[in-house]
Amino acid sequence: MDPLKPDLSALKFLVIDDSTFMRRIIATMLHGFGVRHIEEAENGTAGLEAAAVFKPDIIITDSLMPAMDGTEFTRTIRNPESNCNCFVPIIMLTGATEQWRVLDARDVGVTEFLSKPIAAKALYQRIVATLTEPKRFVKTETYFGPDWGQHRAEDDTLTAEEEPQVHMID
Amino acid sequence: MTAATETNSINVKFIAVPPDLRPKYVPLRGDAAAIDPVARAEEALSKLADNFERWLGEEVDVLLRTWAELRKPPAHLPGKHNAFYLAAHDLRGEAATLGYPLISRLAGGICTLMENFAPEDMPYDLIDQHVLAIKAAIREKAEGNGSETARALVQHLAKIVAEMTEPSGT
Repeated sequence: MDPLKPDLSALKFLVIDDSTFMRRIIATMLHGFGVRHIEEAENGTAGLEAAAVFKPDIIITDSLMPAMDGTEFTRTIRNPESNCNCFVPIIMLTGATEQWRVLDARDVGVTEFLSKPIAAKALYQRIVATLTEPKRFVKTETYFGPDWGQHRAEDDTLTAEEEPQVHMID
Repeated sequence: MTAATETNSINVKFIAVPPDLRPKYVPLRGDAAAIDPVARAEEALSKLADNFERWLGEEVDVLLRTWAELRKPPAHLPGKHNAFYLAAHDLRGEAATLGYPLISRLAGGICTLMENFAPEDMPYDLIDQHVLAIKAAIREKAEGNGSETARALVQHLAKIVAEMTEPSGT
């Protein structure tokens, strides 16, 4: 199997971004990848409602948005008590690449992190990775989400030095 | 939904993600497999490119409007600062994606200043220079790397921002 060419037509994607233009660009990319089922939301609050109804297989969210940002959205989704699929892969897109933002996103349980400008190839690779190499989840007293200690060696977005200390309980 | 779990001696539970997604995607076969999905997405995006300048113009209008609001008395209202910061943050991510990296850098400079100064200490004149530079860049249609003058201006402002925000000695 060529891992770079899965059929994405049966999967449902939820795209959350406060910019109409960015949602259109992301949706255009997804259609190009062969995605057929896309729901859009303009902030985290609307995204939660859409996630509960649409039951997406993959969520792509912006980080900073009014009403509810991507970090708070992810934290809410990852709550095992939430009425959404708490295991759903979440790809966070952001124009801000400061390390503390990356760590914040990772600490609330994002699956993949992608900085803007968004390139079609990079987004496609992240989507394929969530499908073909799903991270196991880890649950501690303070964290529930993907096991970043298991991240792929070829992932150049996050380095080993950035790994959060969420896997150990003293 | 079931998930295989394993708990280790330090009370950390590892959870194999339920295989909800795997049955939903299959490798593309035949003619469909011969098509490069990334190339197809990039081609679709190129058809949108005629809109990029107008979209960016609308985003810059939001920045100018929120900046004008912020400069009106009464000063230092959190809501006005948040609105302007959000506009600058959005522009940082979107401008680069739309092919205007110089505008992205200028918007990023505004974000950095706003993240490093309290409203009462904010270097408003320097922010104003960034805003004026963004106006000039959109007027001059400074796509890609822009002109030599535009690059020099962006670099000059970035240097000032770095000197004002980075700890000395770094």
